[in-house]
Amino acid sequence: MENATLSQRQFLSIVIFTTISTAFYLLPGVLIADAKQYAWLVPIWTGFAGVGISLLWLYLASQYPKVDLFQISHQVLGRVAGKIVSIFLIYQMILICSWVINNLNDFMTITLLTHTTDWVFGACFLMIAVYSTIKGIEALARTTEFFVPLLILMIFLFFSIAVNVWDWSHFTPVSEIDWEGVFPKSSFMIAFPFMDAFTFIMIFPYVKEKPGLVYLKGSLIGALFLSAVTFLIIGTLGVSRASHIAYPLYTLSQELELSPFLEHIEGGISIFWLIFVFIKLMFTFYCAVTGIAQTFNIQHRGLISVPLAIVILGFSQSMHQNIIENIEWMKKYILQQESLVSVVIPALLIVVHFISRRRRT
Amino acid sequence: MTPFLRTALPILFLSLMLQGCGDYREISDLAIVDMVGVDMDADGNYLAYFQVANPNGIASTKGGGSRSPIFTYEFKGKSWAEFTSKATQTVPRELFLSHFQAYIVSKRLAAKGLGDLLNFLESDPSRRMATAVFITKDSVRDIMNTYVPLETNIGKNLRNIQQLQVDFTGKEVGESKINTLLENFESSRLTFVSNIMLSSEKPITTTKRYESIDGNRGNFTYTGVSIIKKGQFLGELKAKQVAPLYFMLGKSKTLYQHIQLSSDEFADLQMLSKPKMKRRFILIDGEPTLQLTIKPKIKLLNIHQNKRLDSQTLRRLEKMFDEEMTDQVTEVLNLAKKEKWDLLGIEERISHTTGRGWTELKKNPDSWMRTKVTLDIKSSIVKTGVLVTTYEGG
Amino acid sequence: MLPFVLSLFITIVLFVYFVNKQRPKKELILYSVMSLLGIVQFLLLIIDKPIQLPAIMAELIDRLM
Repeated sequence: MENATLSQRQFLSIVIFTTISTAFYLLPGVLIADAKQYAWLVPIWTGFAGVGISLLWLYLASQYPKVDLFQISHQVLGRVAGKIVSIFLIYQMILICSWVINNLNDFMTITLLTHTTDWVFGACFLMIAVYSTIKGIEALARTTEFFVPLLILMIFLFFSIAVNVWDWSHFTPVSEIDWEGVFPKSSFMIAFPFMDAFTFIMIFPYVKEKPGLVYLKGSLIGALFLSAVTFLIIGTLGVSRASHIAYPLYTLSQELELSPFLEHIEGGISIFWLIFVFIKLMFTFYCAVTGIAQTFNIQHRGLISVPLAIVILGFSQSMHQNIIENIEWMKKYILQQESLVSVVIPALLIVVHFISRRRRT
Repeated sequence: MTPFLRTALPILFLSLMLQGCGDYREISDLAIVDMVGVDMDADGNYLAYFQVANPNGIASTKGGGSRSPIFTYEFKGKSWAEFTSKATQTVPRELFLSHFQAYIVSKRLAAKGLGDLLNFLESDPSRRMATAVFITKDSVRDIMNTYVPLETNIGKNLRNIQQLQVDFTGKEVGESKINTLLENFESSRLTFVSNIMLSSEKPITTTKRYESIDGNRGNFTYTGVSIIKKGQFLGELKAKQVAPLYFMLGKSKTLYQHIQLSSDEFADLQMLSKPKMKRRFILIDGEPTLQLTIKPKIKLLNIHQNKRLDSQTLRRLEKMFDEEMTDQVTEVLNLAKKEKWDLLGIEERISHTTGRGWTELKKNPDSWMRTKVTLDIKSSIVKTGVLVTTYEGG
Repeated sequence: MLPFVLSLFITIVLFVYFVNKQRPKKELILYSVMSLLGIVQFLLLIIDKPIQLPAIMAELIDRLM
């Protein structure tokens, strides 16, 4: 365990950024295609559902204060079973990292740099992630904190320019809510991004006070933000356009016009998204490395982080053939897949926890 | 050592180096050739055209003046070596040939054979052989005597057109060069040389050209490739046949393909990089068989379809791309079989094989024609465009 | 090809570095196993038969459901 403390504000910003991250660019188009005008409802209800599910982990964390995810499973299940559970958790983290890089590659090669070899983006991001992991959680938290004012300013600016082309008629005709689209079809959003939250338990012990409460706050802010972005896209681009294009937010930023000499600002806007992506990658990567270090009793994080970065880069190359398959896979399987680490494992741990406590008393 | 020797020896030594001054070249005494055209007239006389850059003219076109940036000289002679001496009778400067950009050969000269021209070019040490070469059906005189918009030196213009074919259409792979012709001169390998033609009927021979807005007129157009074997013109392929040709050779960097999904649905695909390629050359029941496996990675550029794009459509598109490419390649191969062009270099493959069964085939120079070619194309769509579904309406 | 060569190079350089630093044998073994996994994946990518984690997961979920 590191010797570090995070302030509540640092933790809050990590939670918000990690939640928004890839979902911010990838999901609005998908949601709008399914749920039409009511797509903005989806992040809210899935946010509540996702946070509700993560209460399982939060309960465990409250029972075992000042220890992290892997130590909890070790303490509850013992050495061998604890290690098996740890490996599942690590696997999930590696998968999330590969996903983030895969999405990043897709986005960059489809929109901004269409002729660049795609593994290069991932490699560059991972290089900095390795560095920050070696530097530790405090460096990571401070980096996040550093970006907060910048991002708030830019998001505010972006929203206020985008509102210029606002058109309420995009919300009309007020048709019946498409229940099918809002609920079952969009339920995958519970898993992505909200079920990735189990990684936050990793840094609970470092947070000064009330990490659980801060986490709840952060996740809900993230959900509201995603909802607001979806709302904004519906109001500016309209349902029809947004559901036809892969990255509506990118298209929106392409068409914003501050003044005739300041337009085409999608490059700038994309950079903020890249910061979000980077923070999620950096954080999840850090968690995976610490997890491996703890499971296999290794002191030096640098020794693990480089080969892990290579593994992640390799897997990220073969995640999906293209973005269409990515989205289809996500809609079909991600909920079941993430349930393993967000529902099955914590539920199992809680059951074992109760049994062992009863035995002791 | 006496003081005398101490000064004299270094001077003597240095004076040896002064001999190098014999090779000096004063730039204002040179006629820098930008493009060379060669032709042969009906009487068997060689015609050579040298397009010489005019530094003052280039400067003045930038400043908006209208002095000619280039001049074309025309010479006639019985042998290639003759031209250098002929040139001195007209051109007031020494011809400087090492930096020219493009070589234009007329179709009638190519049909007679390029052997002696290639030999002559190779014997001159100052010439760069990695220079782009073009064959034209039009008169070389017209090609050499026209101005093109945007580029003041026409050789550069042609080279850029060639490079754009490499980068954007896959109708060229950057091998239409004099050194490729030389390398393949003694083997049975075929060389594919770019064909160009003038896009208007008449060349535009004055700098008035720069004052007209019409960009298309008096330009060059890429029209396909000529097939050259041992310096001899065999035939030509049209631009749309060239893409499948380079595709089956595994050389093209990119390629565009239009796919008709149904009567009102279609898609456009683009190959992203050089495809992975596997070639197996084996004997099946005593008959030589060339098995080609090509695995291109493609991008969906645009699709017009009435439903949301899903992976099933992508699978279907991949399959249709494979079929379409197989059809196109087979068509080119059938044409080649009819015309007896060995596009895939099978004759050379046979000569490089070892083992029983091949000896009989090696003896017969026409045995390559018996070779069966099987094609297996497995494409995968790895990128899509920004538009996921098309807009419907109207 | 390039990522394969690069990752192989980095792995070897770091391995030598850690050996010189006299890291415990267990750590070096873990390091080698993990690097090997990554390098094998790059090798499989070159021959177009990579390990596809999502495809494996999908297969598993389909079997279980």
